[in-house]
Amino acid sequence: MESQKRHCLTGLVYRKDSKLLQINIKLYGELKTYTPGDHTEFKMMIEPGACLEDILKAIAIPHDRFVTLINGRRWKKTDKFVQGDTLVFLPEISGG
Amino acid sequence: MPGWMGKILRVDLTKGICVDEVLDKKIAKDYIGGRGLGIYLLGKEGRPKQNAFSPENPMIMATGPLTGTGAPTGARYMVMTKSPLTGALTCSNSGGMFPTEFKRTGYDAIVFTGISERPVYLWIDQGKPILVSADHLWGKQTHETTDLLKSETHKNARVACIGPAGENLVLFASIMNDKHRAAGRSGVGAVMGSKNLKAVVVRGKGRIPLADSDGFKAFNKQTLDTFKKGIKDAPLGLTVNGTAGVVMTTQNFGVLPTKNWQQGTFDDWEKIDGEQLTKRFLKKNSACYGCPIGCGRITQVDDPDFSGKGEGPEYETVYAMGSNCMIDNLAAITKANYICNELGMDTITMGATLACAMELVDKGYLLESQVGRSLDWGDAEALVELTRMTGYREGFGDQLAQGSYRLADLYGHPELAPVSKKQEFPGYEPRGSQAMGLAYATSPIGGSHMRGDPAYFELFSVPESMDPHQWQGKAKVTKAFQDLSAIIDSAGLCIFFAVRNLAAKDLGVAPIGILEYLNTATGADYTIEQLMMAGERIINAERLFLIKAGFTRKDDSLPDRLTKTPAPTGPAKGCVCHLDNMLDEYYKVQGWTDDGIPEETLLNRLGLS
Ligand code: SF4
Repeated sequence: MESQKRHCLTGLVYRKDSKLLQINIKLYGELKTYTPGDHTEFKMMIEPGACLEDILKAIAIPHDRFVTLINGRRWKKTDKFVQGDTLVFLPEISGG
Repeated sequence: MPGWMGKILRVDLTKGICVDEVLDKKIAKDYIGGRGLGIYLLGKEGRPKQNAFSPENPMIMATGPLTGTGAPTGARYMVMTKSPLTGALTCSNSGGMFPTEFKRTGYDAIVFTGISERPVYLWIDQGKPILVSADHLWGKQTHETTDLLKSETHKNARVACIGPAGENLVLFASIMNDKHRAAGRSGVGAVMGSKNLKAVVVRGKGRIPLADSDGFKAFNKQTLDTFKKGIKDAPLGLTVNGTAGVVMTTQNFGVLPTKNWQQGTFDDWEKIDGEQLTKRFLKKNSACYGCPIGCGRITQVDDPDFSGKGEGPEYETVYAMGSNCMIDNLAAITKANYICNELGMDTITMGATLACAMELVDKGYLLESQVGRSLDWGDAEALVELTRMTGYREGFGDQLAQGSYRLADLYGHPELAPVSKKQEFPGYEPRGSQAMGLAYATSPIGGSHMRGDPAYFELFSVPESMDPHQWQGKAKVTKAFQDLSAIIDSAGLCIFFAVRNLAAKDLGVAPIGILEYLNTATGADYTIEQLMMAGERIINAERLFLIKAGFTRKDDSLPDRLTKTPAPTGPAKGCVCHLDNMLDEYYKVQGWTDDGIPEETLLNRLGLS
């Protein structure tokens, strides 16, 4: 809960702090139900140095059946974001 | 011989006779069944250099030891023959209810040879096979054929048949079973048509014997319980949106083939995604025998221009007829899918061939006057009309019926055909999914995802995620997945369940779960090494067939557009597929020479020399 407050999930910048970075988040399918207001796409302000692991704590999805992509590519959980990155959550699916 | 039924049916269509043969125990264990048994028989009896439509080309239908046992997704059968589209072998598989019923008639496999003088169908009523005249069915579509055959044989009988496309030797005609399920690829339906065989109708009540019935049931319960627990938290994507839900994934990775493989992103992807399909057309799910996933879609389209009812579309259809043709009209895609099912044609090759024709027109190599109508990118009406004309080989449909390679070649631009070994690719762009490129190039049946699907680790993170843009290290995992697919296809399982739930993560892709199922079902006491070796044996037996048919390293190829032209859009922008590098590594991992020929030591180890 703490971390959820720290990050602004709905896209409203609640703390004017030039040090914060803004990244884009997209969630598809049922994953959007885990964000406030069922937003599929929003902007999020994060602390400089925040990594995927931090975001995963903020957007607490209660299972691990999803894939994350940053700018369309795979990412290590500890790699840091830069301003303007796009993070996508995809439900686990496969087929053909 | 539990698990297996222990018998093969031989049908000589020229002479009109059916003969039983005993299935050799050692062969059954070494080749498992399904695809493995198919390549064993094809390797022994087929003539790799002969024409696919010659009477000597055997067409083999084979189930696996887990087909019909109640093991989850144990619902599959395999059709194996030499392909008229590729000139290589093909194995095309399908699920539904037909394979289980087929096995219950008492046969593991049927081998068709020769050509019947008149159209016939094979009717196996509980172990008694008979060839019956099909004059009255010739020319009929698959749904009508199925209904008529059920009414003249038995209401509980199950039917696999060809439609007009198979009769007209469309090079990518399919064999449809249970109306909507397809052994779709490489023209297996055309081979059936060339033999004047309209259908196979089966009714079986035989029990499938299990070696250790209690052990089998206990393991089955455990597997299903774990599976169900896993899906309690989140519904399974495949169940909710079918395979069409994959559009979202491939678009986000930039590997959704678009505009005849010129790019990997489609701006209007949300209009053709599985979520839309669910919202607009889904009536209910359908599942193959014993499958807890149920990825099939029973759909109905109310759009007055494209109205109809049926099943589908699958992801592959949506890519091929949708983004690849720049068509964002899901109603038209679904309608064209229905037409393919009713005429008996492969939706991937159909869509990909049409996209290729669109590019030929766009570039001015093919004139609209030659097509007989306009054919712009995104033309939904053309998709539906030309799909129908292809099945009947009417007008320009006659040229489309040859597939994209022959079409593009006819107009002087074979480089525009999105093929490997003349077969069109499924919907994953190798520039942003390197291992997929390697899998297409080395697949024994040409462009395919079902004979080894590294998209699992590159895109779906199974068993673990790998960077899809990196080519290093991909040869090893691609080989591992190809071997695994050979095991799954031979056991009679569906890859969607088996890859995730029956392969142990810590061992890479070792099929621990399949081992347990096979051993309790058959009592054949496979060790994990023996089982994995069976996978390798099957892959190498297929390779030997290809080599005898005249295929070499140069046929393990991709079009220049994927290996030389950098991707113009999306996350893979600037990337090309590094096939040559991966191929060198791959041959080494396989134990093949630089030309792709299996080394003697390897063949000795596998008992193939
Ligand atoms: S996952 Fe789909 S194709 Fe596979 S067995 Fe189940 S219903 Fe059939």
